[in-house]
Amino acid sequence: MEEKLFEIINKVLSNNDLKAIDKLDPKLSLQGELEMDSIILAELTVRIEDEFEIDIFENGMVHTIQDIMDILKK
Amino acid sequence: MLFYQSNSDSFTYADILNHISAQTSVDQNYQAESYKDFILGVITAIVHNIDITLVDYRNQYQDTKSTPVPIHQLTIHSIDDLIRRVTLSKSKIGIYSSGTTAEPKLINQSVQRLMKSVRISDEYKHSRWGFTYNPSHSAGIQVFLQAICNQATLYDLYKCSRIQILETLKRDKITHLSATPTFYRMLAPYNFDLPDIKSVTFNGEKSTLELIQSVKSRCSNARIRNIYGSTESGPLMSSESTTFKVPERLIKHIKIENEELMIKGHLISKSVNNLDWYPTGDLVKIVNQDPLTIEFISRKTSILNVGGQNVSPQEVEETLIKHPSVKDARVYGRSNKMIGNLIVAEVQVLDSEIISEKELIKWCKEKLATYKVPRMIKLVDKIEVGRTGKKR
Repeated sequence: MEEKLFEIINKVLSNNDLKAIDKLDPKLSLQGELEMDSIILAELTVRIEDEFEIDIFENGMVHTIQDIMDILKK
Repeated sequence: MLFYQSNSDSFTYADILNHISAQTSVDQNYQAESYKDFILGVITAIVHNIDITLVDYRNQYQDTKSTPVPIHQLTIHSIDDLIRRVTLSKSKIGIYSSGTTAEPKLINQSVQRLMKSVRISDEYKHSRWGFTYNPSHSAGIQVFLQAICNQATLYDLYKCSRIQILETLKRDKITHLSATPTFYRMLAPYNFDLPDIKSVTFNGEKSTLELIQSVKSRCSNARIRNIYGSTESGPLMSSESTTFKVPERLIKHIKIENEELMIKGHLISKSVNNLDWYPTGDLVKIVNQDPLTIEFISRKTSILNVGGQNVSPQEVEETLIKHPSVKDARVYGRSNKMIGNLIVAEVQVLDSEIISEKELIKWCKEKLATYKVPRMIKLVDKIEVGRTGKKR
């Protein structure tokens, strides 16, 4: 799961000309360090949903990579 | 004389006359296993002045019951007599609209109303038509009537591959072609010549100037017509480009409200409208006030809301299709809680072209506002089309 999530996050970052991450640091903030705006977050959501069949925003906003991993692990 | 030909079947006008004389009943909810049976059944109903509903050729509407009505034996002795009976028919034909943005609606059109768009002249006599539509739908019926009233021949191109289509167009020296823009896009790359074609008609969807010009360049002897109309109204306007000069006869019968084209109720089939002004669902912009000239932007219901901003999928599709490696594209919205809709696309590239999702996204970013750029692009072998040949 983590490997796939890492791939998806870097694909989204690459598509949007943002700096890729070297590893899946749970503390990284999606809108902070990763500089994702609402459209990029929406893309992330949809790609994660396609892979894992889970809407990470179903129960509200997620802020960090840890938040995403917690949802996917449930 | 041949009336219909496909890869697997063909029949003549004589076959039509023989079929009519052998029938003792007509099914008012007409569905058939083959085009041949379908067309023969429809003609039989029309010459007997019987109302008929065209159930989709592939039995799409499973709950439709067969309702045969008895008919007296009828012998028609000549093609001229057949044509006369068709042109004078009192039948109403129930046609399902395309349902591209909503559930298909059943619309009843009289043969007389459909005949208003049929041109009977020496120019069309014995013409050879590329038949690209599902015959159970509006455009298909229109071409079918056009052909039969001019003793023309229909060459079935529906659901054929690009190679099959080009082979038929050349081998059988097709003179008239009427199709959706999606069909014409399927013919890319435009590396062929069709000098026998005298008339090319675009119908059923919004077309682009680039597409019209690409086709025109390959059909150098053809007159080009881009038609605006619907199953509810029939054909209303035509143009050689993507801007439509509103004909004098329509000026007082149309208006534009909040960018939507409205048509006076009496021009619309009563089976679907009882309003004074009928909302077409087509968004337009005025290109010129006098003479009134309009251009179609998109279907109202196809507009996608992306974080509060409106996006026309057609605009994004047209941008993608302008890429030299792209043959066709379908743009739609993926629902999500962040921004409502995320713009995504399916893209069919030209044969032997290689391109990545990232390159296409970059292409769109250079030409479109950020919120219009498709964020996910899937490369597909073929863009799926619906029953009427329009993109799903």
